[in-house]
Parts: sequence; C-alpha cells; structure tokens
Amino acid sequence: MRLSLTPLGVLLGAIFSTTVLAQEGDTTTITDYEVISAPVLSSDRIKSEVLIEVTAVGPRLVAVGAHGNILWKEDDDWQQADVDTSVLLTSVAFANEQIGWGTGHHGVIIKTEDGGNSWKRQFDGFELMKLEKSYYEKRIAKLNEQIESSDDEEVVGELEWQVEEAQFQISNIEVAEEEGPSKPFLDLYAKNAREALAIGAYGTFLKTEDGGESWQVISHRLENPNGYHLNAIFGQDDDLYIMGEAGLAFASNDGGESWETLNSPYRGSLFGGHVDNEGRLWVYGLRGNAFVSEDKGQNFTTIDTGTRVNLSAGTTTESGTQLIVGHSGTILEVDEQLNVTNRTHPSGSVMTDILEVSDGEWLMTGRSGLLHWPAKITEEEALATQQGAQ
Amino acid sequence: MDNPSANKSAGLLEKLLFTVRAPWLIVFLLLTLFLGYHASQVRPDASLTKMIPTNHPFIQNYFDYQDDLASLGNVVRVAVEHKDGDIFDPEFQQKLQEITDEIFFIPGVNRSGLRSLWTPNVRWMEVTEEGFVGGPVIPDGYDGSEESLEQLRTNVLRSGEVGNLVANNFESTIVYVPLDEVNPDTGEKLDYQQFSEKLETLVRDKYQSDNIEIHITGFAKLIGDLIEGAEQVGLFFLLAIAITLIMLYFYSRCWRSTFMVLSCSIIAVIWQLGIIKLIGSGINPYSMLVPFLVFAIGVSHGVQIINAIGINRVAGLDKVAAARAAFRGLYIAGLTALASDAIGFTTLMVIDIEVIKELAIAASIGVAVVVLTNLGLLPILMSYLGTSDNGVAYQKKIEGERHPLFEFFAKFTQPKWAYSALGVALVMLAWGLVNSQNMAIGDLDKGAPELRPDSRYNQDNAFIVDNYSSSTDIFVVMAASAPEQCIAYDNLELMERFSWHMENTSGVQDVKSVVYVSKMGMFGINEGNLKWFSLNRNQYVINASLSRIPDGLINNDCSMAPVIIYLDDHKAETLENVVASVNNFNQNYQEDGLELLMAAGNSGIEAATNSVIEAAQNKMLLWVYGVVVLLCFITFRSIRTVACIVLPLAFTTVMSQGLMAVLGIGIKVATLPVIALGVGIGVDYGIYIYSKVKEGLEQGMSLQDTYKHSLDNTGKAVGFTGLTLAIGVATWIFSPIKFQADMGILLTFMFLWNMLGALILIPALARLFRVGNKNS
Repeated sequence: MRLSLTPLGVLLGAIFSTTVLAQEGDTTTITDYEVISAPVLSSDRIKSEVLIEVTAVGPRLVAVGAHGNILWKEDDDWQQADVDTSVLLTSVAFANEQIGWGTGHHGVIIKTEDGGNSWKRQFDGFELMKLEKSYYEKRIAKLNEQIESSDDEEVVGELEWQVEEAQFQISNIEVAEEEGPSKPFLDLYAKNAREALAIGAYGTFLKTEDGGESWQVISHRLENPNGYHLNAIFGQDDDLYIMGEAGLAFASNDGGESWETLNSPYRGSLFGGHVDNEGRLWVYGLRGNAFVSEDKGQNFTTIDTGTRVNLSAGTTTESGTQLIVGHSGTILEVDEQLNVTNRTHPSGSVMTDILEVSDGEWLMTGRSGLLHWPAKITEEEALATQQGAQ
Repeated sequence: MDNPSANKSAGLLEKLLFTVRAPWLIVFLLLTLFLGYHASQVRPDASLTKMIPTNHPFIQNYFDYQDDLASLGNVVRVAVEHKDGDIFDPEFQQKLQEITDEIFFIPGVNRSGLRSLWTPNVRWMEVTEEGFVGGPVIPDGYDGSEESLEQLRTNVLRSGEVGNLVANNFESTIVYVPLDEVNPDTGEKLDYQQFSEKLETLVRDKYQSDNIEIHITGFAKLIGDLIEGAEQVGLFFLLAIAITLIMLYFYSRCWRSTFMVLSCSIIAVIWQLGIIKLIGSGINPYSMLVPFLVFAIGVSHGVQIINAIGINRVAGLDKVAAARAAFRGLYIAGLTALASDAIGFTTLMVIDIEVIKELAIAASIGVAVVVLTNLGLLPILMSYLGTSDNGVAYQKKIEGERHPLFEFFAKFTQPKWAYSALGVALVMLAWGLVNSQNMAIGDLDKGAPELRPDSRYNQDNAFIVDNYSSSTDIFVVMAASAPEQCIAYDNLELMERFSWHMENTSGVQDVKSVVYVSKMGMFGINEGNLKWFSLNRNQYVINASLSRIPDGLINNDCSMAPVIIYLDDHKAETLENVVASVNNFNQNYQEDGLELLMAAGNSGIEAATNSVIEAAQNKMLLWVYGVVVLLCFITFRSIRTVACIVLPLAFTTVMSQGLMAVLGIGIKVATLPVIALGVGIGVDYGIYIYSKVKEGLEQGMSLQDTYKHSLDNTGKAVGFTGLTLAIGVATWIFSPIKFQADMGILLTFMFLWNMLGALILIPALARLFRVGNKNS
C-alpha cells in the first residue's frame, strides 16, 4: 500500500509543479552533474536571488548573478535569459547593443549576440587550464632561450627564478586537472565587438581579439608576482585600469597593451572603480576606503566616507555626483567637493553594483537580488530583506 | 428472543451468574482492586515516535539519522519582547541578562550551545586588512550608558543576527536554548513536561511584566503543553460523569439504579486502564478518548439493564427474578452490539500508526470489559439492591403512555413520510458528497496543529514567525554519502543544484544547508567580496570555507548533511508539492555517491503521516463497513435488513465528511479513527431497533405496528444511548488540544446523527425495500 503511493506522489507532483517541469523539461537523467554545462533553471525567484552586476545597454538593463541567472528588462518586467551554464556569474559587459560577455566561476565566459536574450559558453576553466599550461610551457622555453643567450649572472639568476615560478604554476595546474577548474573570472572589459579583456583570481588575465573565439593569456603584462586576485577592470577609450587584492592598481593608456603599476593609495583590497564624465578615476575597497585621482592614478585623494563597511562598486550620475555601494545597505553619494551623503537601504544587505535609472532613482544588485532607491518595499524586496538579514 | 439455542446458552450463563452471586461479587471486587492499582500507574505520554507511521520509508530514513538530526530540532526559543521601546534599553538588557542566566541553570539545557545577546558565543565579525576581527556583541565594559548601548546596536547590526536572534523590528530578542535529549552528567532522559514547567515558572512567571513579554516556542514546550492539556482532559471525565448522573436519574428516577450503572461503568474504565497498563500499552492524547467511550458505552448498556429490570419489577417479579429476566432478555442483543463495537475498533489496526493501534487495542479491551461489568456485574448488583420504590412507581406511571416523539418516528413507516424522509436524506447526502470533495488531508491551521490556533503556544509561535526570519514548518532532506564524503565538491555542487531547485518549488520559503555555509565561508575568506559567493572545486578551499559549521549541518562521520527546507505552511497540498519536487529532482539527477533522502523535520514527518492516512482512509472504511455488513448479515440473515441498517450509517459517514470539509477539519491521525468509531458504535442502534422489528414482523404485525412495538421497547433506550454517548465525547470539544476537540466535534455529531438516522431512516428504508409487506 505504501509503495503504491510513490507513483501517486509523482503524478501529483506532475500536476502541481508544472512550472518547474516545463523548464527542466528534458527527461534525460543526469548522472554526472557539472555546473559549468548545466543549463540555467527557470525561476520566479531570480529577482531576489544573489545578483552581482547590472549594466545598461541601449534601452535595456541586464543583470547577472548566482546559478547562471541573467535578467533583462526593456520596458515592462524583468525576463530571464536563456543561459547554458549555472555557475555564479561575476560580471557583465557589452561591446554594443547586441554583443556582450559575461564572466563567472569555474573559468566560464559566456557571450550574447542578441542583446542579452540568450547566452552561450565560449570558454571554461578546463580550457583555461590547457591554455595556461601551454602558456607557461612556452614561457619556460622562452626563458631558457634567454638564459642560454645571456652572460649576466644576475639576469640569469632572475630568469631562473622565473622559470621555477612558471614550473610551480604548471604543477599547480596539473593538480587542478585532477579536481577540475577552480579559478573564477571576476571582471571583463569589452573594448569592441572583437576585443575584450578578462581578469580573475590568482592574477588570471586573458584577452580575445576575435570576438571570443580564442583567448590568450596575458598575465605577464601585469606586475603581480604574488598572483593576487584581480577584482575590477574598467576605463574609457584607451585609458584602462585594473584594481585588485592587497591594493593592486594598474593603468594602461594604450587600450591594455602595456600596463603601469600605480602607486597604490591603500594596502588593503580594492574591489572596484569607475571613471567619471570628467575623466577622474574613483577607486574603492575594504573598510570604507575610497579614493579619487584627477591625473589618471598618479596621485590619489582620500575620501572621508564616514563608514567602515566594504565598498564594492560605483557609478556617475547625470548630475555629476558619484554613487558608491557596499555592505550593510550602504549607499554613498559623493559631490564635487567630496562631501559624502551616507544613505542606508532598509534591507541592510550586501550590495555589489548601482545604476542610475533616472534622476534620484537608482537600481542596485547584491545579496538580496535587485534593490531600488528610493526603497520600494514590494513583496519580493521584503522577502529579500529578510533573507539578506539572515 | 425466540431463538431456543440462544435461550439455552443464555440460560446456562444465567445459572452460572445467579446461582452463586456472592462469590462473583468477591471476584469482581478483587479484580477491581488489582486492576485499579495498575490503572493508577497509568500516565499519559506524548511520545513522538508513536504518533508517526514508523514503517513509512520517510520515517525509516529519519530513524537512520535520528541522532544526527537531534541537535537540529530540539531547540526552544524564548523571545523577550520590550513592549514600550526597542531592545537597546538598559533595564531591558539587564532583564535579558538575568533571563539568560536563569535559563543557563535549567537542567536539560545544552549550556555551550545557549545563545543570547548575553552569551559570549554571539559575536560580530568584520574583515580588515589583517583579516577577520570580531568580538562579543555586548561591548567590553558595557555599563548601560548611551554610548555602550550605541556600541551594542552597531555590534548587533554587524553580527548578522538581525532576523535571527534579534527581531527585524528590534523590539524583541531571542534566547536560543538547545536541549540535551539525554543529560550528559546524569544520563537521565529529558523530562519535557518538567522542563516546560520550569520555563513557565522561572522565566515567564518571573520576568513577564507590564513592559516585558515572554514568548516561548519549541518542540519541548509543545510536548509539555500537550501533556498538560491532556491532564486537563482528565477533569472532563468528571464532568461527563456528573452530567450522566443527572440524566440517569431523570431517566430512572431511582438513585440506586443510577449509582449502580455509574459504578459499573467506572469499574469498566478502571479495568480497561489496568489491563492496558498490564499488557504494556500506554495512554496517549489520542487513546485518552477511550475511557470516555467505554464509560458511555457502559452507561448505555447499563441503561438497557435497569430499564428491563424496572419493567420486570412493574410486571411483579421480585428483585432477583427481575434481574435474571433482564439479563436473559438482553444478553444476545447486548453481546452482538458490543461485538460489533469491538470488531469495528479492531479494524483501526490497519492504520500503521502506533497511537491509532493503541487506541484500537484500548477500545476493544474496553468494550470487552463492558460485557463483564455491565452485562454481568450490574444485574447481580441489582439483584441485591433492586429498583427503588420511587423508580418502580415512575416506571409504572410512564408505561401506559406513549411518547409523542415515538408517534412521530413511527410515521416514517408510512409511504408518504418514508419517501419524504428519504428525499430529504438524498438532498443532504448530495450536500455531504459535494462538500466531502473538499475534505483535505492533514492539518490546515498555522502553527502547531496539535494545539488550538489561539492557544498561547501558537500565539507565541506566530509572534516569532512574524518578527523573525524563520518558518516553523521545516522539511528536511538528508543528503547521504559515503563516510567523509558529505562535503566533497561533487556532492556539495549537486546539493546546491537541489537547493536552488527546491527554492523554486511553490510553497518553499528558503533552503539552508552546509552548502550555504560554504558559500558564506567563501564570501568571508575572500574579504567579504560577494563575487566569491560560490562553491569552489578545490577541496582545501572548501574545508577552509567550512571551518565553522553550525551544529547539526553535517553528522559525526560526515556521511550525511541535512538540507533544511523552510515552508510557507504545512497544508497537505504544500507538502505533496514539495515531496513531488524532491522526487522529480531525484529522477532527473542521479549521481553516484549522493542520495537525497526524504524526510525529517516536522513537515517531513507530516508528509509521511499524510500519505499513510490517505492510503489508509479507504482501506479502513472498507474494513469497518465490511465487518458491520457481515455481522448484521449473520444476525439477521437478510440483505434487505442489512441495507436498512447500514445505509443510514453510510449516510452519517458522508455527512460527517462534508462537515469536516465545512469546519476545516482535515483527515489526520486524530480524525481518521473517529469514522470507524462512529460506524462501529452507530450500528448498535440499528441492531437494537431492528431486533425488535424482526420480532414484531415474525409475530405477523404490519410494518407500522411493528415499528411502534420496537420503539416502545427500545426507542427510549436508543435515544438515551445516543445522548449519553454524545455527552461523553462532547466534553472533548473544550479540550485545549486541537485534535481532541476535533475528535469531540465529529464523534458528537456522528453519535447524534446515527441515532436520528436509525430512528428515521430505518423505518423509511424498511418501507422502501418492502420489508414486512407480505405480512401487512
């Protein structure tokens, strides 16, 4: 009698959970689940689940986050994009209104060619391991050549150290091959429809020049001997910046071909930055630290933020003020005189990105999904508030 | 009774009983003393395992990991509310500190797990350039000043305890009290009732004031309240006795008969309790109904005896002869009726839930005992005492009269009345059928379904649900792996997928597991950068992210990690939906090394119970009706007669299902047996009435005369039986325990409705089926 219940339960389930089934649709049983290649699950909860970045592209807003979730909105309500991965997506960037990329954990890079409706994987951590392995192998070969041809003992010593370092990286990759890719990409900059730069954990730095068909490792362009995480890449025209762990800050004035290490204003981690309409560089990070540079990062002024929470991301408003968001619902507005207005979103949630929707109306992403300022307490946001507080 | 063989056997028994009356009395006295002693040892218990279907696969899975899951569930939350202000108030904080200390010393509390703003294990944490920094939420050197309260507020905000230990509106805060099922010092099992009482006296009574209110929830408190409520029900028994006493007197106008019937019925209850104690069975909040039933059944049969004795006395027999004649006349009908009761109860054994089985056993024993006390002991006692003169005089006075009600009931043998009655019954039946479609499985109210929605426990529960981010309806799926593999990357990643799948199931509020802890850990060790809020494939990184796992999220040998699913409610539909969603996932994802097993948590257990109840529902009806039909057929040897007796019962069953739907009472452990009890006892009326109808028809009377004859002889007793039974169970309607009240409502309805059904529909159906036409 008890046994006969199971099919009944399944039958009932089929009736009740049609929404779940319709999207999970395929009846093929998955025996070797892989998050990289698992298609995104359709969800009603996507707006209140973790979202990391939001960007405006033409008339559209596009936001990315956990479980491969991507939302887009043109006029009405948010729609869920079709994505062929379920990893946590860490950034989104568009080259034009049609073409854009997203990055994520496990070395995933996805691309859209229809303005964000559908996304396909172009690259993943398995390929990254192969790429990095051959990169380091070539590098060792090249270094050995240099060693052969050099007489200067000091130079040879330095080169030999670099060979060892590269060998260490290869052995790391060989270990990683056993358990699979673990490095996340953390940000991406799309120069145009063909060229893009992607950065990530442990100093990973990649570029493409063919719209993402192939990627090259360019980690050596940065002075990052400790392999610190690279957190953010952004800029304007050919002036690009990278911010990272332990105060790493780099600048390029040739569109990313060569990079200068900046004299960092802070020894703690920098999580983000942006360039405003007047070309000023704003960077921010751990414990309420925020800085502004008028001269492309040569000199920085410390901003008295009045907060000790982490600051994650920022943007410039139409009226020329800067918005910076962070933990505990913190929204900072910095005016021309560097005066800071500190607002707290009622959710008290961790926020990771902010966008001006219209004058005085902002859209944020974070731990609780999409949040609005002025705070709209919709049912979803109330729920998000509760969950964020947990 | 014209059956000579029956007479012969009755004669034998009669001789056995009445020739040596005094020794029998001594035997009965000794048995009563012996069983009374054991009965006094009976204590109500509310063991969880008895209330759940222990053979259901969900429960089997739960039992496999019961010890691992213990620390997850056995927690009491004491919310301390500041009525005029927020919690950042020096006096409030002082009280909170005192309450925390008070709870710390209550036996059974797991002291290291105790959490409140005033315990050192509640800390805030922050990432700095150097890594994590943190400290206790109560700032060092706290002195109740403005500054230290402000510091406290800051610490609370960054502790992540808002919605958890501190209410979302900052007006109350929780003392989180994990319990040790077994006291680690003494090895004693936790006494829930005692613990619950201590919380009441040492915390609620002591600290509740005009501006401080205490709210307490948790399994231990619930069990404590249940047992307390169950003991209160004991008082209802006295009430039932008092009402019955009055009714008996009005019926007989003889104190002697009244007291004898009451005494014999109470003796039946004592024996029943004594016997269940002796056979090692217990009494639980469900089977507590049985003493009430036994008492009521005892009284109803006792009434038949004293009724007959009274009539015999009027006819001029002496005390002994009157008692003997009464015994002789009622022996067969009484035994048949009681046998049908007992067998009806036994059919409850098909439901695989211990409390229902205990109820079935207790009720069957009780009915068997009634045979001895009220068909055996009572006539012997009455043969000594005899009906009082007052009683005999009253009997004589009413004998000539025919009650106008009986005239009314007798009309239903006439075609016009019969068909109208059947027409009305059909309409009502349609109502019942339509409504019974809406009858739901399981519990429908919010909060703890065992208690009333407006009980203090449920009010406290609602307070905590409203002000904190926690649901009390919890469905746990056990993610089972090989030992040491519970946090292996592949397993965690599949659990992550499962959690997200479940979060997208309607009725699910939130899902938590060790996966969430690992993602939070990644977020933490990466300096609070949300871009790292993900599982990592590197096992060393995973281990680092899980350096602090809260109690209960993995078991000792890391072979199981519970996935805790918080639900909107515990309606059967929600639970079915969740179960289906888990099954759906298990079908689509089958990974070697990880099994997602249902189910633990209060909602998981309820889902199992519901499915057992649903399966048992029709099976039980089939059995109980099968038995009743068979018994009636054996007694009356006529299919038409069986139809006349059973159809009114079926009518009542359908009507009570309709009533359940309308009153919002679900089919559950408490209400499922009620239908069997209603049918089992309800058939008595039909048997009594029809046995007289048969007698009349055999004497060649018309159906109408026959029915009048039958009503003259048994109608009064049937009416009285219906009322005593109804009163016996009606007191339950006031029970603080919700399911007892539900049982009370339904049984009262069924007993009364069965009585009316028997009095009206039996003659009408007899007319329809042309019973006795050939004689008229």
